[in-house]
Amino acid sequence: MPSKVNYATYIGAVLLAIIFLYPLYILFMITFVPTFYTFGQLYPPQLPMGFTLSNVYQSITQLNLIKPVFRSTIVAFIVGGLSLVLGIPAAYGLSKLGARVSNKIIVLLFLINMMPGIVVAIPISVDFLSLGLANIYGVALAQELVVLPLSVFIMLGGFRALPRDLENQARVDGASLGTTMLRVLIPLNRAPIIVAFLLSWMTSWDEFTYAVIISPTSSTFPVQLYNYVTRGVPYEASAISLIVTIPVIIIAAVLQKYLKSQYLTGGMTI
Amino acid sequence: MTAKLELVEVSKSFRSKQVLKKLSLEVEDGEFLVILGPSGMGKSTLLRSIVGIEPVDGGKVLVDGEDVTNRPANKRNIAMVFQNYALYPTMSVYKNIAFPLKMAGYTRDKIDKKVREIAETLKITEALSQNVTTLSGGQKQRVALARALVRDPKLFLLDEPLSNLDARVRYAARQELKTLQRELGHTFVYVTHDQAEAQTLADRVAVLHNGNIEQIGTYEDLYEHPGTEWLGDFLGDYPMNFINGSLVGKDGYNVGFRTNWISEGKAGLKSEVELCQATDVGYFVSCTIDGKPIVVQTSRKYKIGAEVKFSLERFNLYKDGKLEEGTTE
Repeated sequence: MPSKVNYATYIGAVLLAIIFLYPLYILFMITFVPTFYTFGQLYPPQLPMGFTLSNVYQSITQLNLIKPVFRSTIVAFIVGGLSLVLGIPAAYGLSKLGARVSNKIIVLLFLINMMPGIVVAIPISVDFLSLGLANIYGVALAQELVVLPLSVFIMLGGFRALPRDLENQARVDGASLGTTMLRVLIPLNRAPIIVAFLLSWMTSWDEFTYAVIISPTSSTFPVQLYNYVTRGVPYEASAISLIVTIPVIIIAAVLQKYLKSQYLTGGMTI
Repeated sequence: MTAKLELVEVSKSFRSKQVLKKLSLEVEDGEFLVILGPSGMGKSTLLRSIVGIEPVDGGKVLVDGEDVTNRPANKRNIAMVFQNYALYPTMSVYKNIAFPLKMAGYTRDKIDKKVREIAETLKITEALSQNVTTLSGGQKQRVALARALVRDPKLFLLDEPLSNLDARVRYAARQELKTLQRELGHTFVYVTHDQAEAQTLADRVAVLHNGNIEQIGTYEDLYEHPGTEWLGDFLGDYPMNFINGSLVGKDGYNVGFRTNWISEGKAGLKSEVELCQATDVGYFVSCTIDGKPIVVQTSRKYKIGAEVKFSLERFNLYKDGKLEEGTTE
């Protein structure tokens, strides 16, 4: 009976949605409901019992989170930008190699992500200290390690799917390799490139391990937030964390348009 | 601008497979040369080597006597139309045609003038603002042609540009292409596996076989006097018939004749009809002589199993697969 199957599917989907959205819901509660009903109760009510903006107001006035948010933004854009500047040529180059060779290189790229972040972060931070990179720029560089392999992988899929003759045609029409890249290949490949940029941006936005080890002071937003929570101002911190979630939600909405499974297969057919 | 093209002992291999073997070729200024050959014989590779997107392993490519062998494709000023047209899908028709001009550094006004001129010539003015993905096959082919013609290159290379079209469109496009080339007077090198295209378009036909030019000349010349048995077999709607020379008093030779080089009914050769095929120009009778399949053109219909008799009006003599002597009408 198809109708029964649909019924069950809907229930499953709704249940899943509730499970995934519940933390976000709690975040909303803590932000906009008076503290008395949330942190003030042993068993807080699950429905909003009141509405207030004082939590938001307090967190903005009392916590110094503007600068960390600003720093996080810079880092996220550096990480996203670098993953394109380094990733596009890498993906293009790999797409020229045979799949047998390029797939092996991709595995090598992912090797760094197979180790726990903290194992990689500690030796890096030691070197970065002596290089004067124990700051947000060092954090951006370290985070690039995490996002670059995936970015290359996603864009490689795009480049592999392009007809080779378009590139040849551009060369025949008088375009240099750089112009061919900028005017023909990148516009054709914009969907995977956007996906790679946004994924890198998002990964950097809430990355914690590298950020806390490489730049513990004057750090990014997640680190600062963590500091406030451990120092005992959780509800103000929660309030502002909701504000910072908003760009991620927007990006996720944009991504959804582009996120097709083929970008994540690196152009390989399974 | 037109130019003469010269290939000197060009070689090209892919892994262990040698595709072009010391191939030499000369294309005259303003000539329409068709490179004809079976699939997988390196026709496309040859074009790609000329235009510069496939580096050659050895030999030289000369354009107007100038060695361009080591020059990248974007510095050779040779235009090419790819088989699948390779239109830039992210650009409009106008921008596709304007692209080579933009690369050559023309001013905006001049680009606009030239694009509209060529669009007029190829009757695609209404399509200029369209996205290329919405075009029909015939329009795509015109846009690709316009993009190649709009700048003033030394040579035009076309890689089976009509093979993706419907039969009727293809027929019209073939005629237009010939007219266009005659009006413009450019040097065209055109690759195809379609003999009818070679027949209608070419000033000269070069047949590619085993990585080299088997023979070059006018289509009629190649058809009447194929220099090798292979070419006689390859060229024409029906392969050339070959029989042992001893059957017609030419001992030591292989005798080759076309389906219509016979006179029917006279004594000479005879065989049993295996198949009789009716066409616009008569009947084609298949039979076997001395163990070799033979097709001859007849004016009347034969029943299967009946006897067909004919003598040879003219023939070519081959020895070791090569033409020794040909008779003419």
